[in-house]
Amino acid sequence: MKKLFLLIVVTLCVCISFVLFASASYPERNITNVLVWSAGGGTDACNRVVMAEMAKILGVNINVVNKTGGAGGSVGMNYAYSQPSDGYTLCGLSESCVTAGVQGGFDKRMNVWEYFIIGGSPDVVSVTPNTPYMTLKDLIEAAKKNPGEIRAGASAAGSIHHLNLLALEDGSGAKFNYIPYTGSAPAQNAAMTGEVSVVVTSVAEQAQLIRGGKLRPLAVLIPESFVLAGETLPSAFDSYPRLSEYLPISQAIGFAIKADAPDDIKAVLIDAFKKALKTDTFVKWAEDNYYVVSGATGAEGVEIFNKLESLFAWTLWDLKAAKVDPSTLGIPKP
Amino acid sequence: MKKKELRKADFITSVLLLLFSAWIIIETLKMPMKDTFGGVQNVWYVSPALFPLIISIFIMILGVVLLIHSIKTGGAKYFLDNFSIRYRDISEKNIRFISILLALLSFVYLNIPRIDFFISIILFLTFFISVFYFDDKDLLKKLTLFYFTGSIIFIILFAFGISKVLNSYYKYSTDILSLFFYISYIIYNWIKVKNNYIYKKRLIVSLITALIVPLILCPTFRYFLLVPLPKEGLIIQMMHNIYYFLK
Amino acid sequence: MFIFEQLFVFFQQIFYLIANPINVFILFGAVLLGIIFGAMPGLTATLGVALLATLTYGMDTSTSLVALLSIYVGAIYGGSYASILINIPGTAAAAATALDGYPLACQGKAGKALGLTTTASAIGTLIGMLFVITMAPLISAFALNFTSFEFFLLAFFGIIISGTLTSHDLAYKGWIAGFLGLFMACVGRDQLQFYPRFTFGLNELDGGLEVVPVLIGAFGIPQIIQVLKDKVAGGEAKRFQRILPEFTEIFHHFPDIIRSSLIGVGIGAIPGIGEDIAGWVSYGAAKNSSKHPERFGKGEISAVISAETANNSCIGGAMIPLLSLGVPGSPPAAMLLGALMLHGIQPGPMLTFDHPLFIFQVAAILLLASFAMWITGMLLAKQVIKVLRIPPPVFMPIIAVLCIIGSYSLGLRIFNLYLMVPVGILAYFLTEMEYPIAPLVIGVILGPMADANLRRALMVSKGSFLPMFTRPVSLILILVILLMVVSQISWFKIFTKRISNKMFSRKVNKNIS
Repeated sequence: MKKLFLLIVVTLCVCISFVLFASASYPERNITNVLVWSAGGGTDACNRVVMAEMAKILGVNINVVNKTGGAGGSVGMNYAYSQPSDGYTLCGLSESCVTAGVQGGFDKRMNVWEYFIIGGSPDVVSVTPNTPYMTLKDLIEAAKKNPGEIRAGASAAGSIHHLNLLALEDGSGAKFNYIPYTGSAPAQNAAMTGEVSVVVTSVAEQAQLIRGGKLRPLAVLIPESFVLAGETLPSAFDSYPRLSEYLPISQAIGFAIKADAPDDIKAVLIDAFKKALKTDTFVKWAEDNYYVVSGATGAEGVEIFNKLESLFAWTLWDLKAAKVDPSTLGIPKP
Repeated sequence: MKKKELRKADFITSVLLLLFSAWIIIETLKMPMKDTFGGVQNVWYVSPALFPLIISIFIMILGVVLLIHSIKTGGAKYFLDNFSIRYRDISEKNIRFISILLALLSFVYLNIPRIDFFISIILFLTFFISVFYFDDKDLLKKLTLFYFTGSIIFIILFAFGISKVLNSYYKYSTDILSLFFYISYIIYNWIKVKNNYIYKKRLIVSLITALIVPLILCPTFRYFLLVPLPKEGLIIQMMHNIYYFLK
Repeated sequence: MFIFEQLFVFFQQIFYLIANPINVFILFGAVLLGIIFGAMPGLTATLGVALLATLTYGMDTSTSLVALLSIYVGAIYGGSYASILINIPGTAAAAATALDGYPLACQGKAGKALGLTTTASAIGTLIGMLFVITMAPLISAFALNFTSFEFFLLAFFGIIISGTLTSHDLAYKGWIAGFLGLFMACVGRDQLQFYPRFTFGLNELDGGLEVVPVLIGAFGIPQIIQVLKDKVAGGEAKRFQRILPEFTEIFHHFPDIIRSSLIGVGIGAIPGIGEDIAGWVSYGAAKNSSKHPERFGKGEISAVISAETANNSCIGGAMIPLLSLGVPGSPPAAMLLGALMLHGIQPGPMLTFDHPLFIFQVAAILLLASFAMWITGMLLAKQVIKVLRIPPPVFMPIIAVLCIIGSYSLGLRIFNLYLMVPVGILAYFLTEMEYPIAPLVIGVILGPMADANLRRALMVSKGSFLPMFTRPVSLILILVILLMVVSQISWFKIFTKRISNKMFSRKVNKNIS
């Protein structure tokens, strides 16, 4: 018993001495990136690739952990926000996280973060090859003739692809029968089975199916055309210029650090981030996977997320899919 | 369970099931049935209420079937006859059940969210193993009572915000307090069993097991599986420092 | 000639892989890690693949693929350890194994059961692999017949199975447990319109109840309480136990193995559902086609074999839509998709052009992994049985800690634990009242699928049920479901018995005359 007690005392002493052990320059410990979406998705893949490159530059490991759940990834965001602002906790997120506020998951606005935006893949409107629609015009005209008859699949209500579909409807005056799916992969699979004839997901997600001739791309929902495997996908804006009032709503995959973190830590991260985006590994990966690289940081990044936040929040509020009135959070109308 | 007891339990369950299904129906009727919601044109078959409604109807039917069966077989009568609440002798089995619940509930709801994960595990295991390993009703009662009192003190600490005040002086005050509780539990336990050789041996086995398990689990999960632990306090922080010191 | 050419490429890949000693080392290491993941309650195949995706990021593609597929195979198999030995399924995939595996362990036949499941799992993986190289295009075409109606019927079929897992007390207690599970599946935002159902305004409940904490709570906690409270004797470890199954025993169960593998591949090939359901469907099919359905639940060997073969052959099945369409066939396969993307490989229709050898590589790795799994399993089983010698008061608390840390680490959510304990206590009272727990878990797994797909199907058909009867696959599913329901009804049983008796007696008469 005496020995046991002695052991405990010794352990306590060692413990206290180690607790007092102070830290020096950033970064000297491993960094944790708390990712709010599950492993296997686009945000996850992007973050992992960039983190691996940043880890080489910073000389410490960056662990990506997936902490999923809640509306708009709020569980992970709240966790990351509750951690100290010492630069050792990052929060991997994407544009959909801006809905956490109005869905009652995050009681702050999104400007409490400072963003490092890796980029995203533009959305593309595609149809199944057995449909008669060869151009976006064909599709829209057909939809106008029979409003709400053509079935369009996209991921769940309030997701970025759903918002893109809504914007397309608003800008062109067509009306589709929106069928929600739990994600982009099930939506595309439903197009394969013939359950829906139109599908709106990102180019990155559709690339294989388009190249394999299983889907016919009609137009990308960004102002410029997009080149996919040697084929130019026209911009939807060419046929319907009014779309520019509603679009583009582009993906913004990246990670964030609490805005109140010290500036020198932010500077170290920004430097490593910019370098990581220029490495050959990342450039090649982004090209292979059809991502448009952004690289926005600091005020620029916050600006992008502010815009997304007001757009998503008010759209959801108008769709009655929001729990919290965006005006109570102080989110301006778009 | 004996057949008679089972029929009585069936009667109670069937009533609960009926109330439960009624509650589901009331809740589902509040859900949107007609207007558009979330950008989807709503009709009865799209409504989020459809599926819970079907389930509640089935639960209700099954509840009625169960109720009829329990009335037919005399479960209801047995329940009504024995309705008066009488003092029941606390059997050993019931104390065991209470101890298990105490260990699980205090671990999950009290310690994990607030106290260093390493200390939480060691407390839980020390209590949970020792209380059953002796296989002695008297010890079972006394140890459970001791642990229960300790848990109550911690609940008071946390509920009235005393822990916050303490932690503002030193970050890990509550962790140190829980370590004291751990040590006092061991000492109390030792005093109770010191005259019995077998019990003494069993106590040592439980203490060692309770120490080894978190010693293996915490580093593996933290550094190999890259899982941030629920609460990283005194000991886990020390583990970090040692880890980075060695690196 | 074409087939020979393909076989040649296939064996070339195998030799290419074995030639590198690092690959062999990683193969066995990852399989072992996978088995540990599967056996630990709460740590799942999904988590294992996700973990290795990070660790193998720096390695070259084929080596990391070896690691990922091996851990997947190992984890699906490893679930059977915890199911058989302590009646706490390590993964949802192994939940069906526990029903008959644990009674076997209680009879002192844990060694035999483990040996058989190991062999069955290996054979299952192999058959799954055979389908990947020979019939992938055919199966993926078949899987494309599954629209929302079929998904709903499939989920409904799974739920019907819970009706066959009846209680010893009252037959419909299985149904009650099943519907309670379905209700639990309703909690959270609904998948189509994002409407919060039964969330009580709690933000934590928005995402719904996760399967793993419910599974661990519902199976683990009652077991812990029963062992410690009532001092129920658990599995028995006898001094000498033969692990290696007799060849004749395997041969005897060959029909079970073939049927279960086919079910496994089929379920795996349908996108979105995986091993968890494969095990149950195969169990249900085995029970319905067995000559002694009354033995199920009391330690029937063919039940254990069916469940284990199906969940392992499901891996091969899940690879098919992943490789041909880029749609993962099961949750761990979804992780695998992410990992492949990290390595710059995009599965889909163009895969055979972009990486012509990739499918052969996957098949070769599956073959090697199933061998590695068999060898490791055989060596490990003997040692693992020894844990049963640890006194329960020491063993069960450790299991409790593992359950808790396991269900926490899946989503890193303490809320999962808050959920797990009440579910466990509810499950304990239900078991005390002789309700089967398995239907509750099936309900939680299949509820969201049944709900969303029923409504989506009606949305597509504008409220008409007609497509259910005009689409061939859905019509077949309806017939199967009807057959299953009818065979449960007592007058039908008596009817078939009479017919078979008559035929049998006639034959006997003939023989006499």
